[in-house]
Amino acid sequence: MEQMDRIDFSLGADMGLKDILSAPDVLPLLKAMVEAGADLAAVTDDKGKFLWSEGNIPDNRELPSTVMEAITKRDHKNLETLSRVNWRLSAIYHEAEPIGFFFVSAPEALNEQFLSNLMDTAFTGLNIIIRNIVKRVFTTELHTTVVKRSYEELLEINKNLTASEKKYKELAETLEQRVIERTEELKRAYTRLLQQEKMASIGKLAAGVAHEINNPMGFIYSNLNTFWKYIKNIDEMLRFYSQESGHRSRESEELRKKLKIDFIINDIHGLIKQSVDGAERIKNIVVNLKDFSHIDEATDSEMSINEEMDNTIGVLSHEIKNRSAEIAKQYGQVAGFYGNPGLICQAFLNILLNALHSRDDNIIVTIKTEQHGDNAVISIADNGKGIPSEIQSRIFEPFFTTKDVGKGIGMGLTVTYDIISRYGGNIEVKSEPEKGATFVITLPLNGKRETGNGFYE
Amino acid sequence: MIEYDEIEQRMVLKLVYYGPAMSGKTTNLLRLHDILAIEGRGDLMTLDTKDDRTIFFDLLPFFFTAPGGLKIKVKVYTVPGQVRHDATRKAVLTRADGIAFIADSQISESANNVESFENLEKNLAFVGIDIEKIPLIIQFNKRDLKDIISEDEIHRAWESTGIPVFMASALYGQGVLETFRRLVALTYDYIDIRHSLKEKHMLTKEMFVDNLARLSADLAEQ
Ligand SMILES: Nc1nc2c(ncn2[C@@H]2O[C@H](COP(=O)(O)OP(=O)(O)OP(=O)(O)O)[C@@H](O)[C@H]2O)c(=O)[nH]1
Ligand SMILES: Nc1ncnc2c1ncn2[C@@H]1O[C@H](COP(=O)(O)OP(=O)(O)O)[C@@H](O)[C@H]1O
Ligand SMILES: [Mg+2]
Ligand SMILES: [Mg+2]
Repeated sequence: MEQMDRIDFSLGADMGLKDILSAPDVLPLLKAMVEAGADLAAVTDDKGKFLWSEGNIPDNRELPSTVMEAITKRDHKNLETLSRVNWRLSAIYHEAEPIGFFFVSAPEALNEQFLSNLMDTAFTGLNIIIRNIVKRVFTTELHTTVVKRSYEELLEINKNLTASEKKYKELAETLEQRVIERTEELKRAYTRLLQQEKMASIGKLAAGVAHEINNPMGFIYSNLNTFWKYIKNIDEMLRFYSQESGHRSRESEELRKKLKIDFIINDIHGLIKQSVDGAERIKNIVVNLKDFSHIDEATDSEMSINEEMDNTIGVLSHEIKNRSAEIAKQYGQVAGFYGNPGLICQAFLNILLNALHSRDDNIIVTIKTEQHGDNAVISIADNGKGIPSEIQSRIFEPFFTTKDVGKGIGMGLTVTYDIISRYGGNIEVKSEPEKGATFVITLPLNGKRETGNGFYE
Repeated sequence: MIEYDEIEQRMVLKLVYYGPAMSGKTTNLLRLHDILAIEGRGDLMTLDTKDDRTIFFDLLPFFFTAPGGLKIKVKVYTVPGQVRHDATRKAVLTRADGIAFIADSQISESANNVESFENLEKNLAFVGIDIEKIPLIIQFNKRDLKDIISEDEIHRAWESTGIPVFMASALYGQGVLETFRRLVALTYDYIDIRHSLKEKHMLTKEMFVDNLARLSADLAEQ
């Protein structure tokens, strides 16, 4: 619309005689007058200068001097009274304004009445011509204006239509793709939801189980210790008997052999040690579970992700040296993160530990940190055996492990997952068999209060 | 929007008779043509009228020269009232210097009056004219008919707007001149502020109004 306002639609622009009439409009009339007996027939502009003329045209091509004088004095009103015996003068009006003159002269001999009649007839004819032309011009002008305006309006409408058509076309074209994307997104969200649910319920169960295990484990462990002490006492007693010569009877020797007392005494030591080790392990599992469930007791503070990563690597230095693993650090600038450093270290530690166990030798772990907008992105990649796709969705589940009994309890990634989600972040794994695994952690840097749902709330 | 050419000493003004179809716009101009002096007044030009309905527009032109030499042309137009000729209305309204809104007094036409007035507001905005500033008057025509909206009601409705209201019976020539004179007077004020008609061109309001709205000699005698 604004654009259209610039077009000038003004109507009925002012017209002079030359704008209205042209030679083919007037000359036939003037010629006819001369043929009818006039000496000179002329149409002049408003200053009395000839525009079109026929007959004996004067050299100066203007009206008689008396008339010219009157015009200069702007004495229009009385101009027509200047007409003489042998000539007649009429002012031509357009829209009430005099825009020129019509002039006819005749030889003196010509009848004066005839001259008047000639003038009247011709002047009426001229006015009809003028009126018709003006009407035609107006009509055309208006028509053009209206058509132009309608055209502009149509252009505008067309522009809008084209724009919206394009939009819909694009929409239609990308619709399929969008549906696919959205479906994928929904699927992912749904899977994540399921995962969380599953983890939450399994976690609750695990915590309950851990508690149940803890009590009996307490007395099994201490009973084993006591039992070991008792056995040592009995063993000492038996030794005493066998060394005491007075008591060394053939009978007792035979019984000792038959009951394999010496072997038993030796084996008891191994058995009890194994049991204690086993109990120790069970205790560790429970401690792990408890750690896991006490996460929310931690206090938060500002920290540097890169520094905490270094701290974690420091904790693991022994392990790294033992396995002669290589750690490649690619730290970027990351703004301070508000959280519990202990927890964050724990989260990193579990991933790093897994990476260090991802193959037997020549381990390379690449740690990358960077900031993407308001997020810290931490990726930990190894060159290990990789995680088969069919278990990728399960590795974060509590107690999910592929490691041999005693080597892993399957709580590492669960703990990591829980910590990261507590801080509103997320963790993703990418892996192809034999090509290693990459864990990518995204942590929002602006959110202060953790939003994720822990298992034991 | 006044067209003013300082060098040529020329000014062209445009007054527009607006309003719903059949309200009597053309009749107003016909009557003006009948009663105004021939001097300085042109012929009424009606463009393509079909069964009395204006399709394009009517034009009644005036021309006079101010004492200071300024040539003034005033073109009085009517617009076609029928809804479908909106594009023509916009074209005619463009660069208008004054507007007379001719309303039909018949109660049955009330809705059309309102619609047409809204159309005027819309189109003025479209052609970039501020309705608050342009000289505007309203004429309630056809007062001779029955079932018309009462004068009281009209004044009550329009008083707050400050727009001058006239009662007319254009068919019988009543109120036509009064309407025109007031429109011309308001237009003078509007132009005088911008072009100092009085100071620069020695043209007073009385002269301006008289030049445009002078009764023909035989009528003036009565
Ligand atoms: N009774 C009566 N009839 C009137 C009056 N004024 C106009 N009319 C009639 O109303 C009809 C329409 O009048 P016009 O002047 O052609 O109306 P218009 O506003 O020009 O209409 P459009 O050109 O269609 O927009 C004609 O038949 C007029 O005679 C009036 O004051 N009283
Ligand atoms: N970097 C890795 N490379 C290969 N497999 C891994 C890696 N990290 C985790 N996993 C898989 O995920 C499982 C779960 O890991 P985790 O929760 O830490 O428990 P755990 O280490 O005790 O098994 C591991 O048993 C292993 O199968
Ligand atoms: Mg682990
Ligand atoms: Mg009309």
